[in-house]
Amino acid sequence: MKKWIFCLLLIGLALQLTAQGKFDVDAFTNPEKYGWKTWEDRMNYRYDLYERQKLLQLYEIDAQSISGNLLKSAVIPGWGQFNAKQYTKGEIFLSLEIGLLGTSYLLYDKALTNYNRYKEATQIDDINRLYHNAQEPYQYSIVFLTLGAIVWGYNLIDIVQTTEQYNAELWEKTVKNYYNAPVQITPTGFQIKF
Amino acid sequence: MRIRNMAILFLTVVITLLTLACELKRSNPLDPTSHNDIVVPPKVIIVSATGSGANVVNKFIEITWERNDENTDGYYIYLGLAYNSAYAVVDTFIGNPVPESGTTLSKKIDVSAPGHYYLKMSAYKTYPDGNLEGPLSQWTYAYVAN
Repeated sequence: MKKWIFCLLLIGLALQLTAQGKFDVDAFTNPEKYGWKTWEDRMNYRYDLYERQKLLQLYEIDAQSISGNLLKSAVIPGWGQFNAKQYTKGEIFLSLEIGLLGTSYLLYDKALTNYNRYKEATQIDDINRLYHNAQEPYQYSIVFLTLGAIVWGYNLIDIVQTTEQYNAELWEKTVKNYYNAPVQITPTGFQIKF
Repeated sequence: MRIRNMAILFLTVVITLLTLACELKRSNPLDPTSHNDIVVPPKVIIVSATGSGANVVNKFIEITWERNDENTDGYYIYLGLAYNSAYAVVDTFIGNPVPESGTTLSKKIDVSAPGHYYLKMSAYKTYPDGNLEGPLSQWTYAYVAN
């Protein structure tokens, strides 16, 4: 029985190996696929890659992680934006969130007070009046809470874009500074241009 | 960007409309809106309110009202010092007896000082969770002489 299984396994493997196409070594090693026409192109590309790798290390020191900023903005709306140096955005999100959630809480508290009084009421006019006085602020509190949730969600969408923008600007700045500065600090040491 | 803003606006409007449809539960056991077996007592009609005359030692107001035919187990009597002032329950008429003659019931309320008084009344119905009080009547004026 075991022999049969072994034979079937061998046949399966053999079929798979024959099914694979021939590996194209020429296409794999052809330098023209990268657009290099001459040896000089190839060397320039290599030099450019080397420079970019150096810059990347510098860039990564100050670059901000999207997940980190996302977490910050999830905990306190606007915190991530502050971190990404978008202070106005951060202030707007923070103040909007405080305003909306604060209003929602105040209205909910008012609704709850009237609702507790409604539950204890025994006079028909009081029952109707207190229920109405509880119902209206309750609905508005939910509206403000929902708006707060929408602002919170939008703040999360925004922080992804803001961090991406921050990192893109940081990269441009890093490249600009690197090529313009006479003294360059690299992760491996100093470089002085004369 | 524009599509995203439109989507957020649309979402906001939809959620706002949905939340406006939310209602608090009418959990009061005496609330007739949520309990079909609860019936509100009818409004009381006050016929008259007469204050005691001059030189009476124990000053009082006699109030007369139309007896409610149904859903009433008693009456509350309210007193106020102005027609638009706050009113407080000063006495309770327990029961809803059928009068020997006519259709009215009456009660004397003791007052401590002479002056102008305003009265209101309401009927109540007793349920297992308490007394449900009906709507307040129109105010009536009474003068208690010194």
